[in-house]
Amino acid sequence: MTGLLAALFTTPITLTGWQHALLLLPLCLSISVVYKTVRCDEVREIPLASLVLWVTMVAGMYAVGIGLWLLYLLTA
Amino acid sequence: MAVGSGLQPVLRVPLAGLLAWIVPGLGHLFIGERVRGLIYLIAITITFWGGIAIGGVRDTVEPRSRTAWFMAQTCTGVHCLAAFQWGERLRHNPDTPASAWAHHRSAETAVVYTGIAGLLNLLAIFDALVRADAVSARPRPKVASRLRKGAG
Repeated sequence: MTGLLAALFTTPITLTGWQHALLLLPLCLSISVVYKTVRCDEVREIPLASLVLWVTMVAGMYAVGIGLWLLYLLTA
Repeated sequence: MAVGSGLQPVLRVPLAGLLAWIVPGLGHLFIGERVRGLIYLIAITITFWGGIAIGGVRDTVEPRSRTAWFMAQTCTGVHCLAAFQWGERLRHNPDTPASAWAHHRSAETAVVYTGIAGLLNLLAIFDALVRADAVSARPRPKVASRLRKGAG
């Protein structure tokens, strides 16, 4: 059991294509939760504010990514 | 009741900052902000060790080739120290296979995850300092009631 748990952290994961793009989701969630925990005065405001920020960040970053990809396709 | 509330501000504020650096969220728990402390603890710990799980402990916390990122990672305190020690042990172990370039992109993602976890904890450290200072700025209940009596 301990060896299995250690192997989780010692063996790198091989990521391909869309898996990289999907890893943006948990990272943005973590950033939005921590940022809103700093900013919100009341603790009960944190979940909704974090969710709104997370959706905004993910939508914005994917939009920028798609825009740059289209620009690359047009100029290539 | 918060452990740090009985201390003088000159001790409480730096101690809250130091604890927040050593273990993410501990500074907030120290000043009595339990929910915020737990949120920081969970979010930053999962982000850091999630990054380690993606890129492997051997190459993710590596100060020689990624100095700037390592400085960001050190902001996670004990997490960075544990990952660095574990990585060093694997790097000096001749039985450990050399890092494969096939995992290069995973390693980059892992470094970003762990570095951002450190920078998020830096934000949490400043938040702990500000909130610890705000606790000392608040009037104590006894003083406040005495002031009300005086005004009446």
